[in-house]
Amino acid sequence: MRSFFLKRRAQSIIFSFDENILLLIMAVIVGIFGGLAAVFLNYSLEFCFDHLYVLREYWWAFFVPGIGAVFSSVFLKKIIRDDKGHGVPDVIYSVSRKGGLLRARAIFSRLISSILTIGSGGSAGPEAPILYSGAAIGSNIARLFSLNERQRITLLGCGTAAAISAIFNAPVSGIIFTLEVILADWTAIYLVPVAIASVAGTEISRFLRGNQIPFSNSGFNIGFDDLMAAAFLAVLTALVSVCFTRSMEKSSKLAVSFEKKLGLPFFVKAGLGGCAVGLIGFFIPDAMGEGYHSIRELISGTYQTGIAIAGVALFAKIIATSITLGWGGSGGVFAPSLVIGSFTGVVFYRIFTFIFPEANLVSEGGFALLGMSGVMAGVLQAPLTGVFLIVEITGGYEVIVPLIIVSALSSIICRYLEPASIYLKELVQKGTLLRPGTDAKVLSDLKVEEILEKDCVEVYNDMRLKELIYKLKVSKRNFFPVLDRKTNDFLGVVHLDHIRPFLLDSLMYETVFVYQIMDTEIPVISPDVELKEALDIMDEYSMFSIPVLEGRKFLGIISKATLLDQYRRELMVQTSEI
Amino acid sequence: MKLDINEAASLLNLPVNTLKRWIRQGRIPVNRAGDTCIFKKEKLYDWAAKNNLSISDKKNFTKNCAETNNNILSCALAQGKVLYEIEGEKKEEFFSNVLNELNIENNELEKVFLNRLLEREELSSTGIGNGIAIPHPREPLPSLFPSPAIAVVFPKEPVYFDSIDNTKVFVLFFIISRNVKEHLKLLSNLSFCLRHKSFIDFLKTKPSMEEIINQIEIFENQLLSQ
Repeated sequence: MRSFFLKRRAQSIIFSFDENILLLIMAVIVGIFGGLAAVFLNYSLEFCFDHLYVLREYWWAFFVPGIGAVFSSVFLKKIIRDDKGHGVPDVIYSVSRKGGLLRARAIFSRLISSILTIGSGGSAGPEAPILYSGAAIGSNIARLFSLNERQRITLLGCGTAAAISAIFNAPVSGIIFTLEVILADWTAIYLVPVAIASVAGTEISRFLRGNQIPFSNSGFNIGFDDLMAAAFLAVLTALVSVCFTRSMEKSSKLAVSFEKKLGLPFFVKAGLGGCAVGLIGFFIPDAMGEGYHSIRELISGTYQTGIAIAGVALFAKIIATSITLGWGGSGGVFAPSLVIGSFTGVVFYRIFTFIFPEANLVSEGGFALLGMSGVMAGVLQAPLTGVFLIVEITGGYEVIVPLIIVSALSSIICRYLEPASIYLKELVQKGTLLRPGTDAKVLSDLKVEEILEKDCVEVYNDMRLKELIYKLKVSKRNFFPVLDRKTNDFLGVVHLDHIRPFLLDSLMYETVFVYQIMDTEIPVISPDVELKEALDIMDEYSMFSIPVLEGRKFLGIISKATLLDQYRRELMVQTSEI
Repeated sequence: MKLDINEAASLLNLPVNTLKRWIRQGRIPVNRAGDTCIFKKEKLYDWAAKNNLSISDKKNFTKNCAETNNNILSCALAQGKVLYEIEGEKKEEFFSNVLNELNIENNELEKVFLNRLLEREELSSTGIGNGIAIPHPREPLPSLFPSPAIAVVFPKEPVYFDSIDNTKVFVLFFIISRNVKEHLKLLSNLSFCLRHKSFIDFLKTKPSMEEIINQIEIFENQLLSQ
């Protein structure tokens, strides 16, 4: 009852404003909450880091990530009853199929579980969970005010932008990531609210945590040699990105088959994964946690260990992240990509200077940046996000030219090797990735009932040809569904072509029955079938219209002519801006 | 001007389901108050123009029953009149008396109407035999009446009408339509009724408007079920 009044009240407030201004105000609110969630997560992780780091000296420290993963998976699966995974595909799925709807519990579910996973040392990023929270905050605020789907998706985007902006203190990256990866739509109706939310999120973070650039560095002087080297680096980062993406996939498949074979409960699986990561971390501490401290070392050029160790750390991080996320931990691939990228950059720099000692390269730290950008762009297949995120989190605008080269090349090569990015892979495989304005989106939005034509003239199986010819007079179609006289069940259809030869033959009028000339082999569809499927059937049998049946009762037909008409209008409306 | 969802759907020539989905998805400008949706006509026009959607602008959104075409004759009669005891010996005199009774406000139009009726009579008589005539203008007069209409006229004394069987006419159906297609449909349905002798006998009793409409509806339903 109370929530009803709350809703009514919220609705009455809404009507007194212009819609667009209202959306901007809401964007600010969503931005503030998204920013707060990001700051909360950040503090929690720092707290865990401070209190659990001391444990690393003990031999049993590798159990800690295991315990964290157990709690995390139990919390997510039993208490909150949410799916595992990093959440970004869920957000994209919600945007493309569910009109931006996310459950209210999504606001904190991944947040808590990822704190447990990452805080205890699991190798994963906090960005995806925080992004998921932000999206859920936007979506649920929109739902509270009964906004429509377009507005809800806008606010969802505001939430993700604010979250990314706040956690990295990087407003432009928040906007770009949202538009490039989450919404895949650059129209102004999204851009403006998302930008505002991004600013709000950043300001909240700056207000509470101070305006610090996460990985600030001293200036780099970029020369021509660096640009050449950047092109080669892009190839390496692309390969590493593909390797990372595939390793994630393999690990999660392995975990599933392992679980089935041994019949392990899910939390034991998560625990085993966590312990495995702990063991890796025991030998290579850089593979643990979200890994920002190692990025700092790599960028400042103070990473002391040799090239072999750096190479091992690179693969250790890939494996640790794959295990953490594949076996039931909770978190994202954002931060691990950055860590893997910076290792890649450093390894590349060392190999390159070893082979070409005379090359005048900028510095190891500079290549760590470029590597981050390359792997980021490759894993997410989002070149712009790769460029702007690195520029913003390092405060290094002077590296932007090689950054663009690495990002663009890396994401292109990755797209060639892996057509779908890590976020979209699952959705593409299930066929549920529907980007705005595409054929798949239009077809999935249109429902059979919207193009159902009910003005068919029905005939019965025991009618004579003469009666059928009378029906011709009143029908606009050359297509007659035949029903059973007793049960009214659909039996087949009579096409005008079937009776054309007998039309003027009066002898046949009384002697031929409808059941003798009807076609019973014709394929039919049910009203809840997807239009794409219906079209596939029609193409297969080269039909122009197909009967729609509910059980065995005839509802109407859908025809390609009407579909084209509706399809075109749908496409025009979907691709235009209000 | 405000429209509800059904009116907006018929204006845009779209299924209501599609419109409902567009409202849910926020693709169309609408004012919502609880569960009811109100469209502003001007906004809807702007929006449709922006999206290249065609608008079928019918002045009257409530569908005229004549437009469903199935019982066009009874509908046309309901829009028209039944006149009794009209005097006049010759066609011209008789017609002008009928037109007076029809109360056509525009005098100019009345003259045109009369002229076209007489022009048609000059081509050949509209007395189709059995004491029945179906006078109509030579060309349709869309401006005369917003929907198809029929005036049934019973003269005081049977009128001489040059009918094909030379009988005097005891009933006349004045057919007013907006276009040729409508005219043909009305004529086809009327001819179906007049094919039955029972209907002619029924007309001889000079029935009331209501009785005629009922009778014609029965015939039109028969025609439909064939």
